[in-house]
This record gives sequence, C-alpha cells and structure tokens, in this order.
Amino acid sequence: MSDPIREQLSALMDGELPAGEQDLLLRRLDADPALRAWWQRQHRAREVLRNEASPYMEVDLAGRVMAALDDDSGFVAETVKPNGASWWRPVAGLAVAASVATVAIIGVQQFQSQGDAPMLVAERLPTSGTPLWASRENSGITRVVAAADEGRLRDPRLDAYLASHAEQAMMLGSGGWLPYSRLVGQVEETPDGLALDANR
Amino acid sequence: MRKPAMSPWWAVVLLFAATTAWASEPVPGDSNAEPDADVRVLLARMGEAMRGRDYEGTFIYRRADHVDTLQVFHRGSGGRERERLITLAGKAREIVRDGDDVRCILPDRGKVLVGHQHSRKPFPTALFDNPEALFPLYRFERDGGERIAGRDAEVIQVSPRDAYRFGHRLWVDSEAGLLLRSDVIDEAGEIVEQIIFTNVDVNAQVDDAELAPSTDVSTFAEVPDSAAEVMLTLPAWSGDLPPGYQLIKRRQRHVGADQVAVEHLLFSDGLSSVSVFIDPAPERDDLLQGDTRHGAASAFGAYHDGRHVTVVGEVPVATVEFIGARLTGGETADVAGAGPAGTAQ
Repeated sequence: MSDPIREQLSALMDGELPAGEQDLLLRRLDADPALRAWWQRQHRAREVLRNEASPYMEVDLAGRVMAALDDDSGFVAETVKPNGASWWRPVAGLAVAASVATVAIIGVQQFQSQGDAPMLVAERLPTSGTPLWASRENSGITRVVAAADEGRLRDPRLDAYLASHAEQAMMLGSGGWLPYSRLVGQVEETPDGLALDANR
Repeated sequence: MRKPAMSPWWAVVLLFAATTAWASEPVPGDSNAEPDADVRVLLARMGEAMRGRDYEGTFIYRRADHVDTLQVFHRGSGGRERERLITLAGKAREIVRDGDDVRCILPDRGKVLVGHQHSRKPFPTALFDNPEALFPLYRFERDGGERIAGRDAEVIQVSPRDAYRFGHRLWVDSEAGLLLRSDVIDEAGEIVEQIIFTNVDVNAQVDDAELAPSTDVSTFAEVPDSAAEVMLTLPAWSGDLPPGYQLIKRRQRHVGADQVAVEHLLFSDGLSSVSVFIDPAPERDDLLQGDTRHGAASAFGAYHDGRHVTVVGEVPVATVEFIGARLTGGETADVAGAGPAGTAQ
C-alpha cells in the first residue's frame, strides 16, 4: 500500500478529502481487501480512542489498540506503545465481524451520485451536504457500513424490529447487562421515531 | 412496590405455549454431559452475587461498529433487586429497574418506556437463576483466570453444542462472584459482542439516590407496554424450532414509522433469543429478503403466502434461517451436517 493512498484515506476519515477525489478512492477501497482491512483498523482505533477520552475509562485502551495495529499503522504510529497485551484481539475481531463483502463509506455526496441508494440518505441522514462520516465525527462515531448491510438499512423496518426485539429480550432478564446494553445500543442507533413503537 | 402478578394475558400465552404446535428439535450430541463440580459452584456463586450483592461500576459495551460506556448501580440486599444503568457517553439513556418493573428513559425524546420483566417464568432466567437448564445446549468449562478491572477473575468458556447459538466467555470475580466481563463469540471464533468492566466496587453502599433516575421525568410521557395486552388468535402456521428454543411471548405490535401492526413472537433458549415479526399484509415490496448480519445480530426476511416474515436475533444466521425457512416453506439451512459447534471435546 502506498503512502499517498493512506494519506488520502486519512483525509477521507477526517472529512478533508475533496469531493472530486472521493469517488476514485472509494472504488479503490472497494477493489482492494488489504486496503479495506487497513481502513477498518484505523476506524476501530479512532473509535476506541474517542471512547478512551472518557474520564471514566481507567484502561489504557488506546495504547494497546495502537500497539496492536501492524507496521502500516500510518498516521497513528507516533502514539504506539509497545505494551501490547491482548486487548486488541476483540477489537480486531469486531472489525472482522463487521467486514462483509464491500465496504462503503456512507456519505451524502457519494449517494447523490449513485442512483440506487438515495433512499438510504433520505432515511438515515440529514439532508445537508455534509458527509455522514464528517457529521458523525462530532457525535463520536465514525461509521463504516458493509455493503451486505445495505439490505438491512434499506429495509425500513429492520432497525425497528431489532429495537423491539432488544426491548422484549431485555425483559427476559437473562444475561446480565448484555440485554440492557443491546437496547441502549439499538435506541442510540435508530433515527427518531423509527425504532420503538411510537403509539405504545 | 408492584408485585409481578401474572396477568390473564400471560395465562393465555402460557396455555398457548403448552399446546402450541411449535416443537424444538432434539438436542444433538452428548446432552447429558454436565460440567465439572467447580464450574457449577462458580456459576451458582455468580448467580447469587449478580442478584444479591450491592455493587456499582463502569463497563463498556461493544458490538459491530458501536461502543457504549455505561455505569451500573445495583442493590440486591433486602430481597428486592434494584438497579440503574446510565450511559456515560453519547446520547443519554437510562434504565431503571425495581424488582420486575423496568423503565427505559429517553431524555431527548421526553419519554419513559415502561415494561415488566418476565417474573422468572415460564422461562427461568437461565444463566443466573438456573444454569442447569443450559447444560444440554452449551458446554461449560473452566479456562484459567485473568485480571479484569483490577480484580482476579475465573474464566468460564461456554460453547454451544450445535450451530444454532453463539458461544460465550465469562469472567467471574474470584472473590465476589460478579460477572466482570462477558464476550459473545460467533461460529468463526470472533468476538461479536462484549461487556467489560473497567472499574467496579463490589462492596458499594448504593443509596436510594443512586437508584433513582438522574433526569426529572415528571414531565415525560410514560409509554406503557400496552401492546402486551393484545391477544391474538392462533396463527394458521406453526413450525419447528432449533433445539432448546421455546416460545416466550406472542403479541401484536405496531412497529416503525408507518406503524404497521405486526405479530411478534419471542423465542429463547435461556441465553440466546430470537424474534419473529410477521406482517400479515405487507404493503411495501422493499422489506428484507434473505439473510443479513450486523455484528452479533442476524436477520432473515421473506415474503410468503401474502405475508412478510422477519426473523432477528443475536444468534447465528443458521438460526434465523432455520426458523424463517420453516415459516415460509423455503429451503432450510442444513447446518446439522456441519456438526455441532461444540463437539470438539
């Protein structure tokens, strides 16, 4: 992987890549599994980093995640600490689990140029010209969505079903806090009014 | 305080559950194998601690592309469990439980969702109350120890005996018995969901204020779980379930932006749960068809006989396919041939 490509990806992640360069880069990402894997690792690392900023976290997550990133960790290399431990394994595992077929970066600009996906935009995004990954930066989440998820996102009810399922499964009272957390996660992710039964 | 009285509605569901044509397939493999005595002791201690102890702590919840940080306060002394969970980052969310009453507070929507936890029946909350119920479905084994949140923990590996549920890995506080970390592991061995304490006080003095909502909810709209009272006639269909799954709940719900009335069935094996949603007369043709998976959540959707069926749950795709295919007369996933996931012993 060449450095210019990585720089471009970093810029994309930061919301600083000119619109004109995005298309080409996304196509490249689409065609190159290694590049995609690297991209996902970076995202994961950033996500963990942002959460690490919480004063409640005592664990040095960031350091360990960074240490876990392999040699090509690019823009975060300077923060790598060599005290690895095994924390990264779950992180990498989650990244792999999230990776299916093709990674698409959801951005309004991208979808506006693709005839088959505007529905997603209409349902999931504010209609400002801001790319999602940039607007979500502020709320602390950068979102990478696998192409296989498009079916899920396209089905206007699936999020609602998942939230409803999480809610009822929570009432089973089994599994410790996992069911609670699932509900919190579902409600968090679902656009207002879509998820939970509005007229319950 | 409210007694979790069994409503007439529940009685009907119980009756239905007892007489339904739903039937679980027999459990494959050595279903009689029981875990070692020390594992059983550890599980029992964990259940007791999770219910009976007073504790507070902070944990992280991760799944797919999502991370939440939550704080929990739990009071078990005095015979009645009370707890409060609150998100520490992102949108404010709070869940307050008092006995079987559960309230989910959504400050940004000015709403409180009110529900009742199933009163330990008809399906016992297996992991903490009745782990024996899980032994035919999962193999429990000790797997060393590790430190979590500065405390020593014993590790229990929970491996599914077939392909219809995920595995788990539990870190149980060696001294206090609390569950300090819990991973959900998919069929490929990847961690798809995780809860891990970053700090915990296992002997906390949890006072009333810490168990009360931090937000003033007096002006919030209370949204009761009234859909539970809608009882449905028996469905025209029925079907087999993967081994160990039971019908827990069946109800009508109004879901989504278009507020369509769908039938919702909830199944559980005591640890994993699956929901089936049936739209009796779908008006749109863009609902899910086929499989999809997102982190720990799998979903299967199909149009069949004028209905649309969606199966979702934190289970392998094989499970949602198994149930979905039997509801829609489609091809069933032949995962039995691949061998139970837990036969590596």
